[in-house]
Amino acid sequence: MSASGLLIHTATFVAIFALLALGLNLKFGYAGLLDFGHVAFFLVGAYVTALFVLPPPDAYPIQTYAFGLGLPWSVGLLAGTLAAGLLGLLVALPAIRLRADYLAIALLGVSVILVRIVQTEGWIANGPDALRGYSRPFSGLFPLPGESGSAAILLGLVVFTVWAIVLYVAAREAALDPPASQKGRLVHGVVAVTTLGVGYLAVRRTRTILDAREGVGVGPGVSPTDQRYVIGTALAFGLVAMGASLVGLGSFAIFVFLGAVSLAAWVVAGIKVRAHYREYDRRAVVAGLVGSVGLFVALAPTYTLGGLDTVVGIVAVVATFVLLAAYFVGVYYAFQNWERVPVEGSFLAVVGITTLWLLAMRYFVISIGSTSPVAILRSTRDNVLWLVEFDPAVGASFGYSRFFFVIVVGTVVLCYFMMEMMANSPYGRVLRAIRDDEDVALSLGKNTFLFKVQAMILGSAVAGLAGAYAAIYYRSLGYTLFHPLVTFFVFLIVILGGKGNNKGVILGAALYWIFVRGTVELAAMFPGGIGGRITILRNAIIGLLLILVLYYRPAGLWKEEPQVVEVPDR
Amino acid sequence: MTSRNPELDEGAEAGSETATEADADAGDDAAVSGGSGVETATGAGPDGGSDRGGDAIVEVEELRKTFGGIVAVDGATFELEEAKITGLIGPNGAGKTTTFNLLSGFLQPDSGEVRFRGRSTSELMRPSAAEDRVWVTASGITFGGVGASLAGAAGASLALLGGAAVVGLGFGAGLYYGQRGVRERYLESRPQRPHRLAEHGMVRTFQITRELQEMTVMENLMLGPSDQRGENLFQTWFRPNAVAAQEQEIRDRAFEVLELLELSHLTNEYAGNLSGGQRKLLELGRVLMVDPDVILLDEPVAGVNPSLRENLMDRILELRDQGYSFCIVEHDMDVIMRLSDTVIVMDQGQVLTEGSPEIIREDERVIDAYLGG
Repeated sequence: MSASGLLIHTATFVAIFALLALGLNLKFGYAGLLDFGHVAFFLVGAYVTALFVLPPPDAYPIQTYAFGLGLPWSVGLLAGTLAAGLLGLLVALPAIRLRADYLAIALLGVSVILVRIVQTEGWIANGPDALRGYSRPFSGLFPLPGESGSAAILLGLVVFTVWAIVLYVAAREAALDPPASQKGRLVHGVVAVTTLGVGYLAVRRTRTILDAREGVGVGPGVSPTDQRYVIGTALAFGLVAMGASLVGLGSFAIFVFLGAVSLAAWVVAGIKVRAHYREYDRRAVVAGLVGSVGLFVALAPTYTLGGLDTVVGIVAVVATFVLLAAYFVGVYYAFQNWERVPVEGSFLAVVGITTLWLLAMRYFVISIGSTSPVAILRSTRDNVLWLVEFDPAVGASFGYSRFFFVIVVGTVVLCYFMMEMMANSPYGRVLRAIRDDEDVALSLGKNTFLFKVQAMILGSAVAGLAGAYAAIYYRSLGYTLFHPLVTFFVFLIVILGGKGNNKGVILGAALYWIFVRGTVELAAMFPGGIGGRITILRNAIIGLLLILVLYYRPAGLWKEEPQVVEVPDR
Repeated sequence: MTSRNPELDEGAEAGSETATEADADAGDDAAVSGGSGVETATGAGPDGGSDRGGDAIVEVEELRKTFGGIVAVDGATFELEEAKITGLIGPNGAGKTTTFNLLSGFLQPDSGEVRFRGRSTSELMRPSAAEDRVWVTASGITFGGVGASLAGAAGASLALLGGAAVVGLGFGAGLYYGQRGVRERYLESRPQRPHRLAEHGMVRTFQITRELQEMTVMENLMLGPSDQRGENLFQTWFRPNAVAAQEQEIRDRAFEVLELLELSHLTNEYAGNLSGGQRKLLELGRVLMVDPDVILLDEPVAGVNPSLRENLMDRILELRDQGYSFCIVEHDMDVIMRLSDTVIVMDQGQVLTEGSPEIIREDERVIDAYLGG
């Protein structure tokens, strides 16, 4: 799989788990409900969606299931979401008055029961075997560009979604202040080029409105009128792409719009990273680079020779282990003596920079894996224009995995905004009050029961939606995918990222999957026996990670941000 | 809603007679003469000025609460007057805080009753008929749906399907009433809905301050007002401008309260970082944001430094003059004597005596209760 394919694959997992974690964050991060049975709603969403879209059981004799309604996917997704929300309500009504730990056990019980039912009651969803046989939505239309009008509309929709997201993120980014310095002008130029000029104007226009609004400190969320420039531009792009597809220029439209948005995404991501680490000097960046190169150096012997079952291979593996040990001892030493290390910024920040370097090198350098100039050029093009697939026959095209990625990410973005509006609203305030001290909320006249039930329904429905997407993505559903342990991985994501912070939760999901992916790759470098042990060890390391985060950073990597209001001068 | 005869204004007579018996009689009389048409203050906000004070706004009758073998409150009977400050004192274990919890609906009395503006608080806390209907409908429809789909899965005919739906409907509705009955009859140790009292205008603070630590001072205050638009998710998502406008109003009011309490410099501080005295002030401010008629303060000045304490007391007196009614539990005699219009002395769960501060100060039994135990 090419590096961009891998990126899409992992990012889709991240997005699905981000949805799942956003749901849990609403319950646990905001309302303080210790839901140890979160995976139950994930399961219900997945299976209900699958059963709604499957053809009737008679038409499918190789497996048994209760019913298949053969409905379209839109209905299936809705049904999965609603079913999970309804289960949330039903579970909440009797259980929600329980105190934290009792509630946790009760909900854990629910999830265990549901998994058991799916496992043993074969007539519901094909028992212990996987439930499969549903086709994925719109799969017939891919790869784009297609001949039909539906394919054109789909392309327009995709172009609209990705541009809306990228332009909005760009608009939010403070680095787009009016260009004062030479460097600022350069950044603006790059942004202008990669967002096709029109997008840049939209971004600038939106930015000024956001500034004006934030200055007053008015209200929760962002009002819809602020986004009209971004939405308008994205809509125009989408319509142009659709039109181009209809007149047979689809490949060209894909190359221009999706290629440009891929570039723009890198640029915006770069600006965002730069802004995030603004206070750290060049030395911290270099330290991160040294750290990542060091890790690659330590892995180099086994990466190049490790697969061999010879003396050389064994020596290489041993050398890697020695180098790794030295590397981690060095890291620990640096951590212990951090004041004396001549680097600005915290240890954690440098770890973050190192991680970014690692990811960048893995993505842009290691993945090339060839020395011929043509191959290097080609794979670099594939990696940079990650949203576009290059088919030798058609030219630029757009495959199903990328389409699904766009849909899921679009859902995550939408869900994130709704959650943020919720969190900043009086509703979120009551939830946080309940989390801190329910009696206070009661004494102030808040019907805490209703608030908690609503949080349960909503959080569960979001988990159900994640389940519905998982059903599409996995293509077949087995009960093992919904093991009660999954709940705790989601808890890890929420706690790692920062409970009560929706951005942090998404970051947590990304880190979790990067870790999972990274250990798989690490294991692949070693000979079978050692590799297998590394994958087994993974869960232990995940547990260790949780302990470390709880110990050194109890509020998570990205902790909940206080709601600051401007104090008027009087 | 009734109002009380002003002549029943408790004073010296009640104080000199032996406690509970006399008070119980007084309470009964009050109940009988309840509707006798003295000008009512019902519905008027607390801003009407202090001139109409003196009517009972909260009546407590024969309140009794036991925890296991301990009788915490043993037939206490008294009343709080509108636009007055009532002090509640007594030695440790006299049942003051329990009385407070009973008043504010955080505990369910074993017997006896609290009436707020003439209506029993347990009645106020019961779900309204409309609420009941919503839940019964929801429960009925859910189980009706479950019944129908189960019948459908079993391949029943249309008639059977309908039958199953109806049975499910009935089962769901019955289940709701059943669980409510069971809860009310057998399980009730604590009422589920004390928030209803706050909505009706009676708000309490806590003895040990319970600020919301992980929220800022501003958020603590903005939490107060009841029925905020943005507490409805639909409004939050689809009418953000209306919500923002109301938020702005609430924020402005919160700034006023902050200035009143001289906490402006701490607006964006986490409440958990405040000192003990500042927390007390914050709690008072939060209650003021709710804008209730009756404020129950549990040790409002404990741990507050002297100058701030003066300030706080002035503030309470000012609010009293604006028409708020207070009930204050406090150990500091100077504070109680200075603030209170009426003092109620409790001992061993009963009302020992009550009267104006001057009379209480002289009362032998009060001195005995405090000194001799």
